[in-house]
This record gives sequence, C-alpha cells and structure tokens, in this order.
Amino acid sequence: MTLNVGLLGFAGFGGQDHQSTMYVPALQRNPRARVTVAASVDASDRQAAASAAARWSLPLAADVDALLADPAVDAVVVCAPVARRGEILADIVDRGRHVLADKPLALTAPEIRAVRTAATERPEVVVAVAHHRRLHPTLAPAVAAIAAGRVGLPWNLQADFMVAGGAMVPEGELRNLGLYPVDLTLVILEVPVERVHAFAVGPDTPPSSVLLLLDHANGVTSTITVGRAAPLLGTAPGGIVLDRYRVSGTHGTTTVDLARPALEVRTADRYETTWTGGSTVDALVADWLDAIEQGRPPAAGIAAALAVAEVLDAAERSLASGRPEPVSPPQAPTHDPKDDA
Amino acid sequence: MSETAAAPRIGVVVVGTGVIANLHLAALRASRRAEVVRLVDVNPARAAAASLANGGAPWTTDLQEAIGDPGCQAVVVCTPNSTHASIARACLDAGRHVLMEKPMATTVADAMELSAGFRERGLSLAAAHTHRAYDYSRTVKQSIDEGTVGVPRLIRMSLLGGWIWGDWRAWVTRPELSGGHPLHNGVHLLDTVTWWMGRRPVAVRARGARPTSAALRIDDYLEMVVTYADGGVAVCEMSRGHRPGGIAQRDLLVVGDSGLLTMRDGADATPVLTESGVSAIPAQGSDAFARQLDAWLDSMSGGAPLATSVDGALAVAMAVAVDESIRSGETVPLDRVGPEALVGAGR
Repeated sequence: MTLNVGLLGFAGFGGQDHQSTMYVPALQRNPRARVTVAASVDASDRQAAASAAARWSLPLAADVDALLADPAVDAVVVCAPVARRGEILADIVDRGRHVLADKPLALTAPEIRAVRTAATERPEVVVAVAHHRRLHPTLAPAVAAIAAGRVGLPWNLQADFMVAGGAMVPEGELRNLGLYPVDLTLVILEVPVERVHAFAVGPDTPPSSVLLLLDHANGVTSTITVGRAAPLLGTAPGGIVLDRYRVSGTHGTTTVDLARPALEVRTADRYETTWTGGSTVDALVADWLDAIEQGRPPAAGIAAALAVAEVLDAAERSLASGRPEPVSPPQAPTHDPKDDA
Repeated sequence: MSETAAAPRIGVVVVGTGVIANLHLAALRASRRAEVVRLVDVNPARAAAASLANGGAPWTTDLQEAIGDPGCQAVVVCTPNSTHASIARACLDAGRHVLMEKPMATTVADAMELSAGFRERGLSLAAAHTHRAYDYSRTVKQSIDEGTVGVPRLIRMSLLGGWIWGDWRAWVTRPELSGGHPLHNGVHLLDTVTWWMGRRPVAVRARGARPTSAALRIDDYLEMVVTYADGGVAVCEMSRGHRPGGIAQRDLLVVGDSGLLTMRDGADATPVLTESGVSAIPAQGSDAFARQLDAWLDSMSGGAPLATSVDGALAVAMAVAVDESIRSGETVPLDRVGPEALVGAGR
C-alpha cells in the first residue's frame, strides 16, 4: 500500500526547514510513500515551499485548504511556523488526515492540549510527532531491559545532549534541543515529573546550553544538560555529539549512549563517526507508515509531546524565576499497565 | 637552591593511623626530605600496628607529647573530621606546619580562623585535596589552562562508587563525627571543579539521596551544582551508594567556548572479562601523595602547596552550602555561608 503524502509548511525554529532537510529525503527513500503535493503555510515559508516544489518536481497548492481539498492526499507532514502549529494541526486532524508533525508538536502544553481535544474526536487519525531519537536502535532494547528490572528500581538518571556547531535558534535551545533529552528521559523512566529547576549555562541570552534538575515522583531525580557547543571536527554543523543517559538503579547501573560511535572513520583530512543501520528519521517515517497501515499508535504521539512540553514550560518558568517550579498541572502517569504483558 | 645531602629531614608526626594515613605514610617513607618521627592515635593497638608497618616509628596516644617534641616540625592529620579543627589549633599553638586531610575543618568559622592563624604565624596549613595531584585531574587542568577548549562553561565530574564504609559503627555514617558527606568527600569535587573552572563560585544547588539505606543519617549519594561568576556551571556527583558495590566509575565532561573534553569511565584502564564478569585493570599512575607531600614541604619555605588553606576554607564553605541546599531544596548563595573575603578568593 502506497500512501500519498502532502507537505504542509517549510518552517520551524529559527531558519529550520526540516521538511526539506529531513522529511522529504526520508519519504523519497521509502517506497511505501509517494510525495504528491506541497504548500506553504504563509508568506514566511512561501519561498522555501517554491524551492522544494521545483527541486522535487511537485505541484504547489495555493494554501492548506487547497492541499487538503485534494482527496488523493492521505497524509500530511507538517512543518508550520511554530507559533501556528497548534491551530493548524487541530484543523488537519478535524479534517481526517493522518499527520506527521515536526517537533515540537506545538510550542506550549496548552496548545498541545487543543490538538489532543481534536484528536479525541477523531480516534482513527494517526498523529505522530517527530521525536525521532526514540527510534535509535540502541534505545528500545535498553528500555525493555530497564523495564524488566535489569538495574532494579531506577532512582536517578543523568543525561547529556549536545550538538556541535550550526546556527543558534533565536527561540532558545531549551525549546529547540531540550525536547530530545527530556523526551528520552521520560521514555526511559516513565515516572512523572513534579518539579523543574533550570539553570542557564554560559553568558549568552538566550543561553546556548541549559541545565535541568528534575524531581520526579517516587523520589526519583534526573539531571539533563542540553545545548549547542562550538563546531567540532568530524561533526556536521548541528550534528549530535553527546546523547547519553546514565540510569542508576537499586541493583545496578547502565549508560545508554546513542552517540557512542559504532564506526569510526579516519583519513588524512576526515574524522567521522557513525552508527550502523539507517537513520532515525528513516525509522520515524517507517514507523508512521506502519501506524497508519496497522491502525496502531505511532512511536511518539500527542501524549509524548504534551509530557515534554509540560516539563519545558516549567523549565522556562524556572529560568525566569531562578527557582524550582512545579509542573502544572501535575503530570499524568504515562505508563499504562494495560500495556504490560 | 641546592638541596645538599646534609639538609636535615623535616620531622613529621602523623596523627590518626587509619586507612588514609597509610597513603601519607608510604609517601613519607619514600621521601628523602621528610621522615616520620612519631605516630599518634587514640587507639593504642592501631598505633602499634602502624608503627610496626612503618619501620618501628615511635608511637603515642598523647598528641601534645608528640607535637611538643622538638624533633617535630610538621604534622599530617588523618583523624575523624570533627577533630580536625582542634588538632590544627594545637599544632598552631605548638608552632608546627600542618597537612590536613579533607575537610580542613567542619565549619566555615573554624576554617577561616585557622587559615588566618597559620598565615599570621608564617606557618603552612595545607589542605589535602589530593585530587589536584592525580594524573587525570592534572591533565584536565593543563588542557584547560592551555586554552584547548576555550573558557570552560559547563563541567561535569562524576565519581561513582559502592559502599565501602563498613557498617553502622563507621564514624563516617555519623554526621556529628564526619560533618556529613558533603564535607567528607564532596569537598574533593567542589575543590577540583573550582580549580578547573578558574573562576569564583557564586552559589550552590544540591540534592542528596540515601540509596544504601533510608535509615542513614548522611547522604551516600550527592549531586552538587555550583554556579560561577559569568555563567559557568559545574555538576558534581559523589556516590558511595551505587550498585554493584564494586563499581568505580569516573566520568568527566568539560564544555568550553571552543571545544569539548570528555574522559569516559574506564578510558585509562584495561578491561578484562572473566568468569566472574567484567572488571578493569587500572593503569599505573604517578604517586599523587608523593606529589602532594613535596608541594607541602616546599610550602614550608615559601613555595605553594597544591591546595592552600584558602582553597580548603572555600571548599568547606561550598560543602556547608551544599548541606543547606539539600535540606531546603533551594539554591544557596555562597555569601550567605561565608564572608566576601573568603568567597571572592576562589581562583
């Protein structure tokens, strides 16, 4: 079964256009998807949309209405300007199209809840959000082992997520990059966050890096450093250089390291590290297509996006106040015991 | 300056003959500049055993007798933490140089009084912040000082170990004797990261846990966040509560303006896989205690020890702030714990 996919929006934080840089190439590589049409959201991404349409020989729809009016569009990949994502995604869900949403799904928790409300009315619609690091081949087996009690009861997690080089995002790296390690911390622990204390690292405003101290339920604590370091040899601009999660449990300790180089390549003028297997974005697209075909939830959906946004919202309040801030309203437990075998 | 064969050895008294004293004693035995003239311990059996292991050095349970002897010029103190200040005072009154095991004292007031007192009398009071002498630490410091990664902005230092303190009898587990874990071990990391960061610490935010037992009266796991002038942040983890009990994990990260430095756990050890599991064979390092001893001996004639009494007092202040932060759940500014004269002294 081949899915007809429309592309809506070529925008994101700062000058990001994940549509062109990540999703279209991944869709082109997947024989189960056919990109059929593109559209910009507004004047701000019109140029990028036109370039993409030319580059990939796609018809350009006039606007979102024209794109969705095409009955042959089964699903949409959305990279709208961040401030408009909540409203646009709710609209697309209302109109019954499956969605792959660029991260963040929307900027704040209240906006994500509005999308959730629309999705509740349309349970057959698949809404996936691009928390693509969840699809790293190291992660699922490690999480399964932890969930099976391999290290006992986790009581602490330490995480580092750093990219090297690339353009700083004016909206702040807390919102841009912070999403990734917060998401994986929640995936690994599945213990709700109660309180966040955030620290700016370095002299810049907004800070290039942030330290997050999370207090979870059950006395569990986690600590996340996240940010953008200087450009480094052997890492593409904006490439990930640290992505690791050390879990300390009552009966053991493990470090899940997604950036550990499985393969190192050195020549006279190159130093590169890479993982074996395909990219996490390819895996994200494949998972989305599977979810649509099989009528099952995607690897990351609205609940995942909401849980992360609640933590980032509290982190933002903490940066402003200089004090620990409660997650408000309190997080719902994300683990459903019905999922246990 | 020539050191002739005729230069008299500095007579050193070692007070407290427990585990850490053995490392100081080994360095003293190997030194040509110093010699052990007396061992002191409140426990005669332990003192006698240490004497036997150290060429029959004379021993006593009487501190005043030992430090009052004209053959004693300097004292190494390795006793439980709550006794450090009073022993240091006795040595100051007796006109002796002191190398004080960490923490230099268990209160900021004691630390500052001692630091000033020794300086006024022209005597050396050095803090045994031995991590400044270890190879890994010196290598990181050198790399930072050379400007390799630019100005450090984020430092992570994690020392994870299992339970080694014995049982409920161990003095470390009693905060009235140890001062608590921030003062007992936390100071090592607080001092080391401040040394690396090279800037003034401003505030501390810490969280503790008691993974080995909820009935403990100290936190065997510490997470200490230190913020520095101009936005530097250090995250320090010190654990004696990790599992498995044989874990010995050291992890370092320095993120600077122009680069990144990582030292992964086990990076300088040889892994060996046997029927009983994976373990590591450490590399042979240079002698940190010997290096620390030499610097202290130098400081008796105008040189600088690896960690001065001001460094020692600053570490005490940071540890006291860590303790307050753990209890309150809030950030503690260092000027609430110690005067500007102390807190502004961080180099």
